Amino acid sequence: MGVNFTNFSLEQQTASYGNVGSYLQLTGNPYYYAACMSATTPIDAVTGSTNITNAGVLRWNYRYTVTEGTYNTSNGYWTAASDGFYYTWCKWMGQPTYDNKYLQIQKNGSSSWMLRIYSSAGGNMYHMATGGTCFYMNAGDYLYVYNANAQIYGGSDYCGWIVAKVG
Amino acid sequence: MGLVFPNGTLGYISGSTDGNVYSQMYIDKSSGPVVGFVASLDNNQNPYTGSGVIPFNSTPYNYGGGFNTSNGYFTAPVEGLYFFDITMMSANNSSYINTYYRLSKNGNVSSSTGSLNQYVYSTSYSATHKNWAGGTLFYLNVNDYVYVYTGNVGLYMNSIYYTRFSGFLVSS
Repeated sequence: MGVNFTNFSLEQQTASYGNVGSYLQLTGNPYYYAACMSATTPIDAVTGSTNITNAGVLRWNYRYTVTEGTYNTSNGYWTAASDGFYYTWCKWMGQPTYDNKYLQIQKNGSSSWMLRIYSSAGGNMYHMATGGTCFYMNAGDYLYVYNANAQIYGGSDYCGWIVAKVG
Repeated sequence: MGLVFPNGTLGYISGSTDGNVYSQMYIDKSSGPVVGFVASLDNNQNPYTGSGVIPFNSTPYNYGGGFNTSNGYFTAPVEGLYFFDITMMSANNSSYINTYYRLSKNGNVSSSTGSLNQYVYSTSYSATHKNWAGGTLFYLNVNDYVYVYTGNVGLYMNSIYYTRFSGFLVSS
């Protein structure tokens, strides 16, 4: 007999009246975080307005779910709780006339550890840009999305999750 | 506690709630084999132009040792489902509009074999920088390989953070 544990957990439960039961349960990777925010509500780092035009760290505050690490809505920082290899991704839509702008995902505020997601519409049109990459994070390291003067339209999102714990 | 399995760690917890005693074993896949990489082109090629396999020659991360910086190939060290992501920015040169890149598995370049290729096309009406991102999943056996193949591209490479090729093992 073989038991493949790759996608299932074997669970056993003993009820208070003495019966013992076992069952298999589908499991997922228990370590991830997701901070998916939407539309008009990432707020301006400087003014607090939803009309984002100033440079600074985006404070995504519309909708988020965090099951790994902590996300601070007051400053837009996500801080890792576990050492590991993480994937992170951002999608943003720029307003017309705001050409040649970019967002960048940065680790610990360093320009050496970042991904720049650039968009040049080249005209008076909405423009979409996406990008993703991986970072190794120690517990306590943080990520944020920096906005370099882009004006962001609805439908912008930012998320990430842990790929694997690395000790 | 935990026994190390190829695909994760066997864990065990027990406890009680409302007088009920329970026990649970589980596979913590987050502590399984770690395979993942981030590759980029170095700063000495601005713009990078050419066709064929993009020779990503720098790896900030290369867990599992699967990425080869001498040829730009990622070779699977373990069997499993892999996710690949490319984020690039084109050079603002009209010679490089209406072009493509593709993620190819095992060197397959046929447009009719979509399961082995993932095309990412870009067109621009003028010489502007274009965000150029794409990703896909491939199931790889040990020693299967994946690379980024281009028709004829110009990539802006003033700094390495504009163009990245990333991948990792999702499930083995």
